[in-house]
Amino acid sequence: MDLRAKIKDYIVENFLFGDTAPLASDGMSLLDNGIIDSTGVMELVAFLEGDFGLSIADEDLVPENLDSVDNLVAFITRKQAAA
Amino acid sequence: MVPYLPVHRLLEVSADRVPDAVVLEHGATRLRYAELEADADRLANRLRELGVERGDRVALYLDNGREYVVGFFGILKAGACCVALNSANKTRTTALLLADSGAVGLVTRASQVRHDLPELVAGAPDLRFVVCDRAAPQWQLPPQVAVVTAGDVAASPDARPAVPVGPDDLCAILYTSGSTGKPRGATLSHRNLAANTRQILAYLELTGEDSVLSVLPFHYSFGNSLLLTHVAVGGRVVVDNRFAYPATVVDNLERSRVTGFSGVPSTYAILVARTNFLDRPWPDLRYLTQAGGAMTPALQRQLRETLPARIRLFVMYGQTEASARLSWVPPERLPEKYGSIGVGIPGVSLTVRRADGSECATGEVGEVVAQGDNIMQGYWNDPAETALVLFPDGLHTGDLGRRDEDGYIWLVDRIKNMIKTGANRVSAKEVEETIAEVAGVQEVCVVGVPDELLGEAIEAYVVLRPGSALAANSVQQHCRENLALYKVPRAVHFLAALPKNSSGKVLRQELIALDRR
Repeated sequence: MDLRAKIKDYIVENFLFGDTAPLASDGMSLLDNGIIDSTGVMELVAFLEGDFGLSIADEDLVPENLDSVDNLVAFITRKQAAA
Repeated sequence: MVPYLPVHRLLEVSADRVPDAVVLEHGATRLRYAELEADADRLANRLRELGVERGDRVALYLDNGREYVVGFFGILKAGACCVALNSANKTRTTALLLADSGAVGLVTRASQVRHDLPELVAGAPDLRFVVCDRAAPQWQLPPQVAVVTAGDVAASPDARPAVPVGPDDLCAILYTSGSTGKPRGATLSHRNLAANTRQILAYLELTGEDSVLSVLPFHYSFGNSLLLTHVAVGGRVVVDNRFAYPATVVDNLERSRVTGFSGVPSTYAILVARTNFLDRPWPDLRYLTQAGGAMTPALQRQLRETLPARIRLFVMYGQTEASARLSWVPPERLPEKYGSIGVGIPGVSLTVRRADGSECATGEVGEVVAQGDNIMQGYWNDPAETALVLFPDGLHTGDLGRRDEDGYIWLVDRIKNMIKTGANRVSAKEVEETIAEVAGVQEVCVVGVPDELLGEAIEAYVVLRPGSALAANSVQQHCRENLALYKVPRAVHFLAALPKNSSGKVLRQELIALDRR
């Protein structure tokens, strides 16, 4: 499974309980569209740290990295390249 | 009885006194007192034209921001009661509360209600209008429900409406979760909210020079108290609705140069665990406040001992049923009272009572009972629930505590958070505080899960600090070393985060349900 599919799969399974409809586009804000809340962001971070083995710094916790599928793909790709 | 101004008069007085001062900052928005006052007057006049009368309920369903504060004060100026709905609720709950409150109108925005407006309206028989930034063409509403847009409101006159409002008229209905069942609406009069505002100002000593960054929603009693206290002194409220990204909030806190910050325990737990909050110098910050649940003594101590001493840390306690605040720990006493909820705030009498109503002796555990002008009138349309908490001697908080020799109250537990295991009653809080001492533990919640043999068995749900690794048995070992054996959790589960409601309160029932799956 490619990176983008894996992330979308996780969001749909964990935050939308299998319903793909609310995740209408890869660029949409997860927070503003009610897909995740602040607890969800902490779960998402744990997922990135666990499944991708990323080490996520405090300053990485910004919407530019985490608040859409597109941002997540770019962030993980950047992190993996730097590792 | 002390005379109180109606709550919207707090805004009017500040708007007359400091019209050019900024009352609200949100992103690029800077709203001045005179602008807020004029916008609220326009809305109030429009509401009057729509037939709103003294005592009517009008619901407000919005995130924190300019539209929320205009809506709140506009509704009050029209003589109506503001039903402040949780903007994080799903449509089903909102529809239920709209109907329950008997609201005649709804103030919201299109991005909040989206395509669900028809569903909300259909379930609310008393609803006659919706005030919304714009009307979406796909909304099919019943003919008796008018949609009033921002443009319509802007065209209304901005003369200050003169609607007579008495101190015991309803000002707001705030729905509270309770721990089970359907939400209950705490009915707060102008007297209640004005009294609590004055009581809080008396110990926080806020002035017009003060400002606060609010990550707490205004529909939540703690958030509402931030708004009212700052409006009362002509201060500034900076809104930040993106606490999901804590680093962003910490940057905003520094950039906006506020003098205060307020949070619930999890707010501070997250700031400490996932930001450099403790490492920054905070030249402008004068105080921090914490309420909305018990912060662990360990976290209180860490904040107090790490941040500069000039930043005062106010540990407080309250309930929606008390408008917001009931007690505080004077910051100078905090180091000797970590873990206490403190003493009644000025104007509030806080006592610990036995089941027969008599006052407990020092050290004896009883229910915490509160009296003051800030105590609600009751639960909306629910005399049975009201009778369970309001008694001639005051508000029965449902919290168990004891008073020490200095008169400080220490909560032992919520009555319903007592775990009955075998013949023993165990305080979940005591076990939680013990587990919180283990290095690597960020947050913990202890619950009693149904057990055939014991009635309830103790289980702990633990969130670890990033980068920490901990085995369940080392947590249990620490408990075994520090607690009676029957208090040691049977199981310790690790979670990425504890389930919480939008106010940050841990949802214990969800953890118990987890165990049943």
